[in-house]
Amino acid sequence: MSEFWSDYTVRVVFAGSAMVGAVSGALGCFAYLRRQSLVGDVVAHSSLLGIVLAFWSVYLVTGAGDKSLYVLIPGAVAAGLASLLLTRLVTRNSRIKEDAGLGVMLAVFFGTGMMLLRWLQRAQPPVPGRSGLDDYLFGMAAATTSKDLWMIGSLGAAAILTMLVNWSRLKVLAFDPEYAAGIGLPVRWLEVLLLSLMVVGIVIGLQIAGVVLMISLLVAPAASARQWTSRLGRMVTLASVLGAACASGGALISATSRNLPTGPAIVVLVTLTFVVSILFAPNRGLLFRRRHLAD
Amino acid sequence: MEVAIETRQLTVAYGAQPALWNVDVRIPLLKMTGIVGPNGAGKSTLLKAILGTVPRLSGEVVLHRDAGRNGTAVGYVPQRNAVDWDFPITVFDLVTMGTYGRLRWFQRPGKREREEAREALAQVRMEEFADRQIGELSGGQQQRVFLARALVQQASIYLMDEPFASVDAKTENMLIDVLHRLRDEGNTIVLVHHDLTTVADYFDHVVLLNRKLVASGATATTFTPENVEHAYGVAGQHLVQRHP
Amino acid sequence: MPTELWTLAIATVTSVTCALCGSLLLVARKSMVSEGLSHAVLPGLVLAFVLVRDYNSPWLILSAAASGMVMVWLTQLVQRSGLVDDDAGLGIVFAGMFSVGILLVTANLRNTHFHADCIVDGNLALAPLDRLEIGGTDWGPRSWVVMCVMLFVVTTFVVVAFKELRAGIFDPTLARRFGLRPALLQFVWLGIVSTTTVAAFNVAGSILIVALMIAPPAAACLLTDRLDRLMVVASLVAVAGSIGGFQVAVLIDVSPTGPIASFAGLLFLLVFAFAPRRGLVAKWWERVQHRAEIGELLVLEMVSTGGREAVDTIVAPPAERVRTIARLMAGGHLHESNGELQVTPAGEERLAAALR
Repeated sequence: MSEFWSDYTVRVVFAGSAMVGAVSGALGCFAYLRRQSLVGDVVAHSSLLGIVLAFWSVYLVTGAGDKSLYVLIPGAVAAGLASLLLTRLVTRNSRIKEDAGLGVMLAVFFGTGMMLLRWLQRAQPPVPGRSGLDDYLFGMAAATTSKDLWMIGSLGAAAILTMLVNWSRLKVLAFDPEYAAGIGLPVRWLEVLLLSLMVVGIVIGLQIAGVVLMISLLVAPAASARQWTSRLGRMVTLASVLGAACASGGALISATSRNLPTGPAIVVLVTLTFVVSILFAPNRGLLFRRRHLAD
Repeated sequence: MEVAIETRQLTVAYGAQPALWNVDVRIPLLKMTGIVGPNGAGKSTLLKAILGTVPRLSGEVVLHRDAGRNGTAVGYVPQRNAVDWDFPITVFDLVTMGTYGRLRWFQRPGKREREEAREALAQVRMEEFADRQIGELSGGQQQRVFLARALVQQASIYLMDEPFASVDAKTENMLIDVLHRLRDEGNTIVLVHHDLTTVADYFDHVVLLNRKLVASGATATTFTPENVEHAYGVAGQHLVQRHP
Repeated sequence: MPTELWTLAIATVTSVTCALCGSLLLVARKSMVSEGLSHAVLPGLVLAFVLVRDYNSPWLILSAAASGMVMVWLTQLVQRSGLVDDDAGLGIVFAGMFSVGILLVTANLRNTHFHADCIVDGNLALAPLDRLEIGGTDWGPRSWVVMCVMLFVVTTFVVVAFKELRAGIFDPTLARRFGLRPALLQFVWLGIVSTTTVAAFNVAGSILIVALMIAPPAAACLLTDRLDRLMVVASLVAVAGSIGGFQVAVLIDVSPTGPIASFAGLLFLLVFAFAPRRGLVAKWWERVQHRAEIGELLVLEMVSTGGREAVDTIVAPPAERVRTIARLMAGGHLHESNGELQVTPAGEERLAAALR
């Protein structure tokens, strides 16, 4: 076992996924509370287009394939935000309801992303470094490098810090935007801030959880934590802890077995956490409620 | 009459649909004013225009120069259905939100703010519920908590959007007592109200609105059958009759 | 018929079937359920395959469709508990089920058909090679036959139960009073949607299913109001998306699912921008006109109550006010005498009519 822990890769993977889980869990609370869970799903899927485009444009400029997160994350953020803004444009200016608008953006961004990904994988002459790109579909924590770790760490820390600094304001905004405007808070600016935080919470997890399943790592810890506490501060803390535990657990399971994608392993863990939470949480849990009624 | 809020030629529209049309209204200082009118008359829009959260097409809103000397100028209690009752927030937290408008960036609510929140809860007699999650309260209790949040703002003008909607009679009486006390302590209260039978009992001053201003003035002289008919149409008369 | 044409034929019939199902989802405001279904059928598919070891067994379709219905049921269970936000419930349930499917695939079926790529991409390009032969007769590619059957089932269902569907989706309470059972009906049509998803899964993969179930109906609903026309227009958009996407796929030599999905989405964006009355451009033009209309009324109002000075209280920029006044004078609603603006009788009439 000590041999296992002394392995450098294992430590990097463990640290990286724990950080991702903690950050996504915490920021996911706001997505969850603002009822934007599926928005998170679409942002995650859409990031694939950004990832592929970023990789490709760096290749065009430098002639080398660079898969480090320094290159891919800005692309993912841009594509994620673009799909978000387009969804808003569509739902605010037409009779299209939010879920249909989201679905359409999923089709455009993810469909185009997949198309380019497949094209890049078959292009002749081969683009160097292209082989691991499709790990972003289902996540491959083992591919994390220490350079990536720094990127995840610094972005995550910046996002959490921003959240803490603006804590009170974000809380009013998430709870009651109309009131927030009434007491003179810069609501529009705070909205953008909150959305950007969510996008960051999503994109730093893509390498580990994958675009397809990222929604679960974002919202399941939040939904679970909500069952155990009725205070926002505790909910965010708990979601963060649950996210970190499940993500690092899943990453280790995946790293120690051959070719097992990380995303599904993590998602099975967070889903179990969620099931346990809605069944057994005191006061709210379904089992508790049954007994309560029987009494 | 000293004026707390004055609108001059105020117009607000949604698309091509006027919501408020050239409204000149003066709401008196230290009085309790009711804004009444049929559905779609622009009552909520008037409150929002005073707060400055909807764009004006014309005119201006002027607040009394003393408003906002101690805290935020205007305390606002939105309609109750607008929030998510499952939000993880306690009664005490919610009331503390009232102080956020005056906190500086980076600043968190401190001892003083918490003390104020506690006092406000005591005023609406909700101290013992401080640690409850807001979804665990009854409709009337929720309304009292929202009032407490407005009190914490230390405003001198309070705007409330239908605070008595889906509230039981007992709570309504209790809220009215708190509001009257608040007025007597030197504040201006403005309510959007839909129950015409209680207008005469509750308000010193009344504003009748139907996109345009129908009438505004002391309740006794303004809340007349003619004006009500003017605002509501002929059917309005039945609304004033108290049911036995 | 050449392979490529078969591919296009399969893509077209799949997309029309999906578009019909998607139209129902759209009007029931359940569009994202297709995202859930397209992921949640996987565990059922894989489990059945592990048990029977035959790609072509009907058990696969049944088990996978059941798996989709389990997702619908679990989601409703979570929603009804009131403990979790609806969207989050859907997301957690489908991601959880999909993960179980993926883990089953990687644990048991590493070198089979169920490669992770196929789950997302589908196998459209290879679909024509898998022929269905019964009694020595070649009936064409298997997926073609399967999708044609699905199209027939969906169309028949929609035609036969159209009245009930429309009532059940738009106004469940009313439908219940008429003795239609909306809950049962919803179960049936979601079952059909789930089965369609499964049938399409093999060729289309999860992206294309979502794209085809959402984008064409969404485009159609910007073009028409009625459910029957919506379905027809959605089918046409779906066909156009398949043909366009297929051309792109041939051009750059990739699996056609990605291009068809993105083409369907782009078609939606085109419709969104340029649809008559409901498109972005039309809306923008409408807003410009509303603004002009209300601006003119406001000037009339201000002039009639306070003369020229009152016009200055209008928030719009001075240049716009000047233009508005000029328009009103040209239209005979305002006139100037001795340097004073006055509202003409025609103008007064217009003002009164607008505020009535």
